[in-house]
Amino acid sequence: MITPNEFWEKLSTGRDYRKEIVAAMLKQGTALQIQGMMKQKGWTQAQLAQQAGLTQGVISRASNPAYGNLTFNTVIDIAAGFDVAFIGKFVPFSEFARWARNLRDEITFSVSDFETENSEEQEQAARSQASTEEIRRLLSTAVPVGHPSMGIGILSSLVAARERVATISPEPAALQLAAPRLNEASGDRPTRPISTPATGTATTEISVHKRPPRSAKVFSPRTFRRHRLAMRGKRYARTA
Amino acid sequence: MSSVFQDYFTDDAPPRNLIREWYLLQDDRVRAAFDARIGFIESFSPLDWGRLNPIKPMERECAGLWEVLLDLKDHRPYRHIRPIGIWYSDERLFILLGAFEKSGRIRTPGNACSEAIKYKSQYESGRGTINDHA
Repeated sequence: MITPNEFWEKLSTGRDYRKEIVAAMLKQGTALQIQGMMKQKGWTQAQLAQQAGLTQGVISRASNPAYGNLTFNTVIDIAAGFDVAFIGKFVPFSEFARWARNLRDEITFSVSDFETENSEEQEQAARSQASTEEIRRLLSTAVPVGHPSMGIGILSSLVAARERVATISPEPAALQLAAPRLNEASGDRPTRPISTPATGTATTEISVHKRPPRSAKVFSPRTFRRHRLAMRGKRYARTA
Repeated sequence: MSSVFQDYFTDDAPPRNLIREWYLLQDDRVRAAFDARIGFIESFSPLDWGRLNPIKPMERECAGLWEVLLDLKDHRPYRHIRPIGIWYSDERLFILLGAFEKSGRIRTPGNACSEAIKYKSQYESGRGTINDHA
């Protein structure tokens, strides 16, 4: 196997060589990948031709590394036949050299078509939605948002909710959903990062308090009634 | 499993690298196509090539040798290059002993096969060395 230095030396021999090696690698690589993908799918040239809207002769030439006169339109039609994308881009020779050194990894025959990828995406979205629903349910039962007597008593449920959120879905998106609810419940106190088992420290911060905010007034029902009557008396006095 | 190409060095003083001598006489188009083809054969198993397997056994006066098919048909003049050597399919090892260009039944250089057969027997009798293709 030629070494990176040897390959670079060859590239340094001249612009003509560089042009020819790019052409040879691209043409042979594309043909080999078309043939490999057909084999992977168990398709004949005729089947690919039908899918791509081309003739079998065009596919035969396209999958022959010796031919190398493919037009962009033919390549795009073949990509459409496989229902995959094709990207061509300009790169510096250092990147080309890396690509040429790793042909086996760079040119894959197992390329998922759009429908396969789409169904995988939908499954992933459904899983994510399910975990989001579970987090919503947990937050609505474990954290009584706006409760006037939030104190030490709910701390344990708050912490438990936080831990379950992290266990159920360590995804940052889920934590982002949970954070405002937990912060709202605990009164926007200074925060500290939450760690998740799968992802380490999450980007979203959730505050947890060891005691209720100092500004919160805690009334007993009797005191509250007295306070309310006093306030009503003040209003009467102002209107009178 | 990928394949390996090695260059044969004769036991002359100094040793001759036969494929290197041929390579240096070629233009950029042939050099690039040859380098690319060797790179692809080394990277992909013969199974990946399917019906396009580029390594074929030779016949008639070249029997006993193997050739790498390298046809340049992307623009004219079409050229048919044939690096030749010994192919050990079990080890996937190809020892390069030279090359020629084919035009119909005419080979250039004309003595490529007889030379390669001579060096093949030298190699098999333990003369000369092999080294990674560069």
